[in-house]
Amino acid sequence: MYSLQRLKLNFAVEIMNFIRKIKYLFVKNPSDTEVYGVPGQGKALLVSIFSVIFFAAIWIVVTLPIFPSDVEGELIPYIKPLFLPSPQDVFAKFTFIWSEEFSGGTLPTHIGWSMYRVFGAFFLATATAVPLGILMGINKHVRGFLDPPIEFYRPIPPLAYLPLMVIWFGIGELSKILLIFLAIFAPLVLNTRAGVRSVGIELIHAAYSMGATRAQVTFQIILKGAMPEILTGMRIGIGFGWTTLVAAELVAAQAGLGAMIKSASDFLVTDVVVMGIVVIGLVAYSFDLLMRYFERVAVPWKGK
Amino acid sequence: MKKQKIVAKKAAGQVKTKLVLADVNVVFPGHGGAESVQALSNINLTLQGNDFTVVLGSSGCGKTTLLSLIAGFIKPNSGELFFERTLAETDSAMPKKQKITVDGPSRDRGVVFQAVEGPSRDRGVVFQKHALLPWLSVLDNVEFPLKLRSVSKKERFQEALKNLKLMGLEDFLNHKVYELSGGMQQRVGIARALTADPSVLLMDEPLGALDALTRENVQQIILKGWLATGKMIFFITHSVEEALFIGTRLIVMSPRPGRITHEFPLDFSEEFLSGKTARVVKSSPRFIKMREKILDIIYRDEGLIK
Ligand SMILES: Nc1ncnc2c1ncn2[C@@H]1O[C@H](COP(=O)(O)OP(=O)(O)OP(=O)(O)O)[C@@H](O)[C@H]1O
Ligand SMILES: [Mg+2]
Repeated sequence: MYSLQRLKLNFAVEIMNFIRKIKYLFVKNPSDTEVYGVPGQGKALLVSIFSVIFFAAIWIVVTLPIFPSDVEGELIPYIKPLFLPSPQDVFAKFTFIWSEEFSGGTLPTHIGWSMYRVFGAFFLATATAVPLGILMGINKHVRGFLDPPIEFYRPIPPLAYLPLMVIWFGIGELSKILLIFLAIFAPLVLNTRAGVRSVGIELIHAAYSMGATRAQVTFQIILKGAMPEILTGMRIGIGFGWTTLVAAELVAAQAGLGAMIKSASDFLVTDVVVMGIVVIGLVAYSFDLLMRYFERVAVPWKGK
Repeated sequence: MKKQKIVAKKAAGQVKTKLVLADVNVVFPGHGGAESVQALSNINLTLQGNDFTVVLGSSGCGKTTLLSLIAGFIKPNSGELFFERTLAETDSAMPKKQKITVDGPSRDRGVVFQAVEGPSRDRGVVFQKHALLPWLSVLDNVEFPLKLRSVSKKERFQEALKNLKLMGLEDFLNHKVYELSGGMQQRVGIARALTADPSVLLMDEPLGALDALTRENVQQIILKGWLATGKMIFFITHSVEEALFIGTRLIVMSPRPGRITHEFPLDFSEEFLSGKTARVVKSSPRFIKMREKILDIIYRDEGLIK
């Protein structure tokens, strides 16, 4: 009996804390100290919410059929649906394609395939770019060897080498994932390398003076110290990955958000194009929020 | 004056170690058209036994450079830096003298880093350089040297806690280092160096950011620790009073080019260790006379008086 009461009390306290937490997303927590002159200090969430509402409102207004047309008695929107469908239409398409097939699959199928490609490439890129970036940071031979090819291919648009990928690796999954992989790999490897360089020499010296071996310095000081920049590289990298998605799915993809957008644009189904864009944006943004949260947990010392 | 030599504990049959710097020069190349800096010029210095060497000198005269050299962080442009180990008589089978050139940092030379890189006129920028690991808590930082050697968890904790208590930090075990004040961070650095337990302890203005009271306390802790362990200590400071009180030997350096200009033996720490209070030692006429003399030398170096 007693413990049940206590449980209820705990629950109430938890809820109060949660409400407080939500509140402090918007306004300054009085227990936070304000430091004079920190660039861009303060909560921006309220402004961001306003921004979302602002742009959504513009979208709604310009697609609302309130203007008289040439035909007597008919009202048309400021921008025709062919150029910009209304949010209601896009949402209707969203719910429709969620269960009905469009261009080779339902929406969950498209999302699934695209996530498989982007996250598969992201996983492969992380598994290779981080060790190579560390090696480039700590070994001049590796750095000298890998720098030219990476810096050479980095600025080339993926669409330019897409044909080569297809000729070399066929029209299957390999060339698609490889294309996205290459887009993620370069920024991640360069960020990792920069992360190694950002580790203060005094930390490395201190570790050696305490008897650390080379391996201990590499794994416990350099890798750890490079972590904030590695995570930034991962965030930038996956952004590039999403950017490359449509290009990767241009060639012979049965399903995928990029393929869906491509075939919708072929048939001028603009509302599906817009819906695809919004879905990609939302998936990518959600993942970025997750990464930011992970960053706060994993490298709380960043910038300290 | 009575000359009573303080002999710190030494295990029997142990080797005697000398650290020798012979004609050492360090030049930092100037970047982007700046002139190169002769940071150290013709340094000849021998540190031996349980010497407690204190280094004084104006900002930018090369104190940190000298310490980095001994720690093995930088290499001399010319000259030699080596350990000379003389084996005790009982070990006659082994060669009498062994010369080991210093090559890189090692566990035998522990370092307490200068907390804030001095307000150097030549470099301008002031960096926080306490060299603590920001991703570890205070306790983990102090345990770190033992963790590197895979010492058991319990032993690590006891040793770290002991040294953190010495530094008055037992209430901050689980804080992150960036949550501490500059002076507290410095004390964590000292606790970590004590935990690493090197045979030579190199300290770069370790008490620079401490308040006067804590500073006096930590001075006494270091002195007593030195007496108990017989470590060789190399100690940089800006405070003349601290230098006179804590060392057995004083080195005064001058800038441009960085060089050793004076050397004095010191015995005020003996007075403290044989029972007088720190305040009594520091206010004795002999202490004050010495302090004024050293200040005079430093002011002359600075060109403040002719
Ligand atoms: N890495 C470096 N590159 C170039 N010049 C350097 C470097 N480190 C030190 N110097 C120069 O060498 C000289 C000695 O510097 P050092 O840091 O040894 O002085 P210091 O005596 O420790 O000064 P402080 O008391 O301010 O700590 C200075 O003129 C400085 O500008
Ligand atoms: Mg210095």
